[in-house]
Amino acid sequence: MSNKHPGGKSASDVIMDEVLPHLPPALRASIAGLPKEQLDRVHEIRLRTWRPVTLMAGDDEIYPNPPYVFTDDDALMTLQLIACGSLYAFEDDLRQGYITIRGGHRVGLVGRVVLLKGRVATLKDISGFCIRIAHEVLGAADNVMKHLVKPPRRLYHTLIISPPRCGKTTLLRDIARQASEGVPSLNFPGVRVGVADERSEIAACYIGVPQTTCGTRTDVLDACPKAEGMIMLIRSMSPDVVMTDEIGREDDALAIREVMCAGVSLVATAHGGSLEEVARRPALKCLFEGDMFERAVILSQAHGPGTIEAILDVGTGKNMISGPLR
Amino acid sequence: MVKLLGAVLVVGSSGVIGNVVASGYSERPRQLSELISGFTLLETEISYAKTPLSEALMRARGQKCSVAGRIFETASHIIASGDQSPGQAWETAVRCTYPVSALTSEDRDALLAFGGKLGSCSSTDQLRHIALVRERLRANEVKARDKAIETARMWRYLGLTVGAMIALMLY
Repeated sequence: MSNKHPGGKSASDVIMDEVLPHLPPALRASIAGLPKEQLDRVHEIRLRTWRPVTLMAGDDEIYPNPPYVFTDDDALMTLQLIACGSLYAFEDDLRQGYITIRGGHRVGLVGRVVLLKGRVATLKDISGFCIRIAHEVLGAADNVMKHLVKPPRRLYHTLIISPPRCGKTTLLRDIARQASEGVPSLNFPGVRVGVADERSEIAACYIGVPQTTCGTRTDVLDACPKAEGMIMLIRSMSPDVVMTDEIGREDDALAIREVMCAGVSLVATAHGGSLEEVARRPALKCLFEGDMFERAVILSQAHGPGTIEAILDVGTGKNMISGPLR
Repeated sequence: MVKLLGAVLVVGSSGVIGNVVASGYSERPRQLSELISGFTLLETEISYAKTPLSEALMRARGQKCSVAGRIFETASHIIASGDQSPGQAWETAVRCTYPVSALTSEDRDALLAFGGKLGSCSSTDQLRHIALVRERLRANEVKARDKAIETARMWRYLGLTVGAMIALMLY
């Protein structure tokens, strides 16, 4: 298994080349002054107005030396740089609370919410940024692929379940790559994969170009609402497998039923601690009434992000692995 | 015979000079028209494709050597470099190009006013600002075109008349 940043760069190179250009010059210099071995461990940069800039490396917090206090002018400039001076082009992203920058790095935003007819219209007075450094783990799906392949060339309908930050998207991305490229050891040929990537996190597209290795037979519908995206993919790209991230709304469940009934395999992720928890979610309940999912992969942080707690045969409830895998 | 030939040459050359000066007056309306076209293309890029500003300005620039092309391209490069905010980049581009253009201070002020909110508001507001600057430039263009027709006619007649007077004096 190799922890790899798009383009094969180290984390510090990725931060220098792709993240720092989006920060104000003084902050850029402050972070660039940190030792390379520290930057290589960073997976998140947190900026909060009038508080010190913090870099997260696992559970450790790293501070530039001397500490850099992030001002409101810095916040304005950071927003302009992240939005490439074009806030109008990121209106939908602002409404969702994040912007994806080149390299697939996701910048979460907080500030004052503007409501329109009771719904979030946009964010203003942005006061906090959380920059998550994108990375892909090639081989993250090595342990699960043999349980998901349905010979000769299909995948079981699969739901990947975990609380946030346990590696759902990383696993889904690698399943997409392996399904697309094929797995010779399982005699599984590469199949057409359609990815409905609403939050630009699976393929991390920048101006339509995937920034991660998601396979040669993979078609990505970027920034499209999942429910519409899955149906559009079936109509336009005739995929063998459709993949999407973080299902949870009623229209997602309806679209999933459409996909499954169209003879197309589906692999999706959902927030939850167990299969029972997800099955109790009102919007998703209908998907478990007719045993539509055939496999469920449960992830946790028990032995670090990406720990596979169980791979369940949903029909029988049998766990297909003897113990946690990582 | 020589005198007659000389007189024809004098009248002809001063007529040509009058025409050259007259054609100079049609530059401003032409440049304003190019700017209006550029803003129309920019509007499409923003409203339909939501193209980021730097890319949108490059696509809307039209001919590279035109005044509109220079302003749009310069602003695009500065925005892409990240050295200045979009508003500052636009102001720099307008101020750099203004001295080599046929635009007046009235046109320049309309362009500078447009840069104030560039890139820092919603697409609806951005389109409103584009519509506003286009209206102002269109009004300026109509005035400039009327003035150009009057002034150009005057210079053409003046060229021929002065030529004829010189020929008479020399004859």
